[in-house]
Amino acid sequence: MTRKGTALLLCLLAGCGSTGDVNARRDLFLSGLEALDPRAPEPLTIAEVRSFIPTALERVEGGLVLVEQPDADRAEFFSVAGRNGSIVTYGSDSQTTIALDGPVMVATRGFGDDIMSADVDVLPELLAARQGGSYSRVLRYLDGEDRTTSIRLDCNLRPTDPANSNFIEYCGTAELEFRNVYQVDGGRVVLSVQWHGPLNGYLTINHLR
Amino acid sequence: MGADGWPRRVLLVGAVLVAWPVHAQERGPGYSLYGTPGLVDMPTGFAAPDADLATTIGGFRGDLRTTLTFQVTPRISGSYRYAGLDENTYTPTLGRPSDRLVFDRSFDLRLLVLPETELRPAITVGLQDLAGTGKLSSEYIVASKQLTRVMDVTVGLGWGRLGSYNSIGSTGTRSQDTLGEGGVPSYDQWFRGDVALFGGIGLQLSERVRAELEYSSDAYADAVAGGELDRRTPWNAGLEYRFDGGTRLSVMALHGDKVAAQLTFVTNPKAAPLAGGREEAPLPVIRRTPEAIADTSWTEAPAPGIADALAAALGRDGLVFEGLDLSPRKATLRFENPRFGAPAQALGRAARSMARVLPASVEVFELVPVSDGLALSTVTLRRSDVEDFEFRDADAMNARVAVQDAAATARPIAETRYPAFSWSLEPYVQTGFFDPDRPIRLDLGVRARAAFRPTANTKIAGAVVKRIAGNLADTPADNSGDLPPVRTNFPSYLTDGDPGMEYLTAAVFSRPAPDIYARGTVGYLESMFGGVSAEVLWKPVDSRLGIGLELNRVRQRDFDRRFGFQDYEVTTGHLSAYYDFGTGIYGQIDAGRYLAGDEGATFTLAREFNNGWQVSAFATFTDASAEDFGEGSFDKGILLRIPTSWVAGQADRSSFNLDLRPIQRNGGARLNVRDRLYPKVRDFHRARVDDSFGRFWR
Repeated sequence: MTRKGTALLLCLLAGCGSTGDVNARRDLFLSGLEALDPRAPEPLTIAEVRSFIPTALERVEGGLVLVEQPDADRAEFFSVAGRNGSIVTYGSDSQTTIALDGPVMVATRGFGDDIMSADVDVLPELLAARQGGSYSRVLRYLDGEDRTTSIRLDCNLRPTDPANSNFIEYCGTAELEFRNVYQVDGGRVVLSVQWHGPLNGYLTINHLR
Repeated sequence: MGADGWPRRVLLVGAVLVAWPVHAQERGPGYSLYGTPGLVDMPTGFAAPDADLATTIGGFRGDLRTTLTFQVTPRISGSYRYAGLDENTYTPTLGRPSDRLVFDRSFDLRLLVLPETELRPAITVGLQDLAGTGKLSSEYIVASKQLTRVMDVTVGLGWGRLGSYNSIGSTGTRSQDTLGEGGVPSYDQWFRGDVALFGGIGLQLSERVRAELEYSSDAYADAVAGGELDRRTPWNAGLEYRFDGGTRLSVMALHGDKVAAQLTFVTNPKAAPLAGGREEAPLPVIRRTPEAIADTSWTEAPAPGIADALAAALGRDGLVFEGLDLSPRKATLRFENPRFGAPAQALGRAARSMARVLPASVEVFELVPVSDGLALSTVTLRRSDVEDFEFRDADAMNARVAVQDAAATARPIAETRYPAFSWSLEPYVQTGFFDPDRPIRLDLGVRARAAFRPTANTKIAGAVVKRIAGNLADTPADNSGDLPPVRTNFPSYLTDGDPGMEYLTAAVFSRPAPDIYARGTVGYLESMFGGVSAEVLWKPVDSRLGIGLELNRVRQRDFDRRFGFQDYEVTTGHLSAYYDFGTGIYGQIDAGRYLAGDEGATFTLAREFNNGWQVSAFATFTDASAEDFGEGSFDKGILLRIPTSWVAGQADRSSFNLDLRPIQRNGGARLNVRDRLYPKVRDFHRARVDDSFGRFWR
C-alpha cells in the first residue's frame, strides 16, 4: 500500500485531524494496538538499564537519579527538570516526574496512582544530619473519583549501624505500614527504597549524582 | 481508592517486609436471573455497595434476560431489563415452545428500608417490572441476614409472579389490565392479589465460589402453559464463580427441569482502573528570584515572543492559546481546553505554563477559559501561590483561587488566532436498542467534520457521515399514531441519506451581560431538521441554578440529507432549569413545545461522579395521548456517560455514551441542535472547578 493509502486507512480506523484532541485519541488507539502486538520489543529490564549508568552520568549534567520499580522490573533515568525551594523535580524521557525533598520522595506524576503531594516533616533534615527521630507524615493520592485522599502516618527513623550510614524509616497507621531504607555515603543519601503507594509498591531510587 | 479499600497483600522488597491492611473483602451481593441482588431467581434484602453498576446476561432456553442495575444511592437501586420470552410463553399458548423470542422492557425499583446490623436483617421492598406490560411484575418485601462469615439467609413475601405458587393468602384483587400503552406505573396492581413466601440460603464455599439454594414462589404459569418449563419442584440451586475484576459466571438448576447460566459484570464509577490517570507529567514550576520580581524594566522594551512562548507551552499540554493581555503586574490569558475532562487540571497546567514563561514581575494571573468565543469564567490566582503551593495539598491552593464572571475581564485575542480552520475524520458507532425484532442494532461508519471560525465567536461547521457497515437502517419504520413523523422515519434518513450531511450551520456566540450567555444558529441543525435556533442562558458562576430559553423555527429535511426540505415546519423551544444539587445529584427540567407540536416537559435526574461518569434517567410527559405516542406511552430512557479518561487513564475529554432509550417515537422529541450553552458554560464555573480541584497539580 502507498503511504497515502496507509494514512487514509489509519484515519478511517483511528481518526485524524487538525486538532490535538482527535490526534490524541488516535495515538491512544494506536498505543492500545501496540500493547497487543506480541512482536513489540520488551521494555528494558532493571539490569539492562543499570548497564547504562556510566553513559548516563557522562551525558547528563547535574542531578541524576535512577528510579527502579522492582515489582514491574522497570527502570528509568531522571534528570533535573525544576527546582522549587528545597524540592527538586526530576523528569524522564517518558514524561514522568519524581520530586525529591533532599532524598525523600514527595510527589510523582505519570507513574499511575501518583503521590500528589506529601508532608514529610523533619525527615529530610534528620537524614541530612544523619540522626534518628520521630515525626509524622502525610501522603496524598487521588481516588477513583479524583478526590484527594490522604494517609497520615506516624514514623520514626533510626540508624541500623554504628556508623550511622544506613537508616530504616518505619511508618505505620492502624491499617498499613511500610519501611523505607536510606543508605548514606559521603554525606548524602546514595540509595533509597521508598514506598510509593498501593499500586506501585516500593521504588528503588539510586541518587547517582 | 482509599486506604480502607486496599486489598490484603504481602510484599517483600529486599529486606523490607510489609503487611497490608487486613479487611474483609467487599464482596457485593449476588445477582439473580432478574439481574437484581438475589439468589437464583428470588430477590434478597441486600443492597449493592453505593454506585455499583451490574450488567447481567442470563437465562435458559426460551427465557433470556439482560439487566442493568445501578445502586443509585446506598438505599435505592434501579434496574432496566430487556427480556426475551418464548412467543408461546409471552402470549400463553398451549403446546410446544416456538423458539422465537419476544422482547420486552421492564423496570425495577428497590428500596433498602432497613440496613443490616449485628442483630437485624437487611430489609428491602422491591417493585419488579413496575411499569411494563406486566409479564414479570412482582412486588416483594424481603429480609436477608449474614448469619455467619460464610452463610446468609433470606425470607420474603411476594405478590404478582412471586405470589403465584403456594400462596398463603391474598390482599385484594390484581388487575390484569395494562395502563395506557404500557410503560405507565401499574400502581393499581402493586401489592395486590395472592401472596406467597419464598426464601433461601447462600453459602460462600471459598473466596471465589458461592452456592445458593432457594424455595421459589414463582409458578412460572405462562411458561408451563407454553410448554417451556416443566415445574417439577419449587427448589432452585445455583453455583457462582467470581473472577478478578468484577466478572462472575453462574450456573443454575431451575425447578428440576432447566439449566440456566448467567454472566454478571460489576463495575463501579468510583473505582477508576487507574486512579489519577497516567498522562504525562506537567512541567514543574520555576520559582522566581526576589530580584527578578522587582524588575519591571522589560516593559520598556518588551521581549518579542512572550505570547508565542506561552502558546507553545500551552500547546504542549494540549491547550489552545487564544490571547494574552500583559501588564507589569498582571496577565490575562484566554485559552481553550479541548483536552482535560477536569477543568481544574486545565487551569493548573495553564498556570504552570504562565509561571514558566511570563516575566517575573507579573504576579496576578487571570485565566479565562473560552469555548466558542464565550469567556466561561475568570479564574484569578497569584503566581507566588503557584510557587508556594506546588507541593502542598490541593485544597490549600483551592482556597486561594477566585472564580468570577468573565464579562468584565479583558478580552485579548491574538491577531494570528483567527480566522481558524480545523477538520477531522473519525470513525463512529451508532446504536439502536430495543427494537422488538432485534435487541441491538449497530452502524459503523466514518464522520468527516470541518469548522471555520472567521472570528473568535463565530463558527461555520459541518459534518458528513458515511456508513461502512451496519443494520440500523433496517429498523422498521413505525408511523402509527396521529403525530407527525418527526423521528420515526429515521431509517429513511439512514438509507436515502448515505452519505449524508449531518449538519451544516453558522453560529454566533456572545456574552451580552454578566451571567448571560447567548447563541444563535442557522442552517441544517441536525440530520432531520434545519432552520433557525436561538438560545439564552442565565448562569452566575457561583450559582447552582441555571435558567435557559431556547426557541427554534425548523423544517423537516429531505431523507437524502442534502439541501432540500419537506413540508413539515414547526416552532419548537423550551424553558430549561438546570440545578446542581452539589451532592453528585443533578436535575434538569425542560418545559415547552416539542418537534411534533406536542407540549409538555422533560425531567432528567442524574447521578454524577467527579471523574466524569454520569448515570441519568429522563422521562418526557407531553399532551400527546398514549395512543398517539404508541408503544411505551411516553418517551423515557437511561443514559450512561463513561469518560474515555476513566477507561484509558489518559487525559481526554471525550466519553462513551450509552443511550439506553427505546426507539424514539414522535412524541416528546427534542431538536438536537449543537453547542447548547449549559454543558459548555457549567464546566468552568465554581462547582465544577472545586469538585475537580484534586487534579489542579496533576
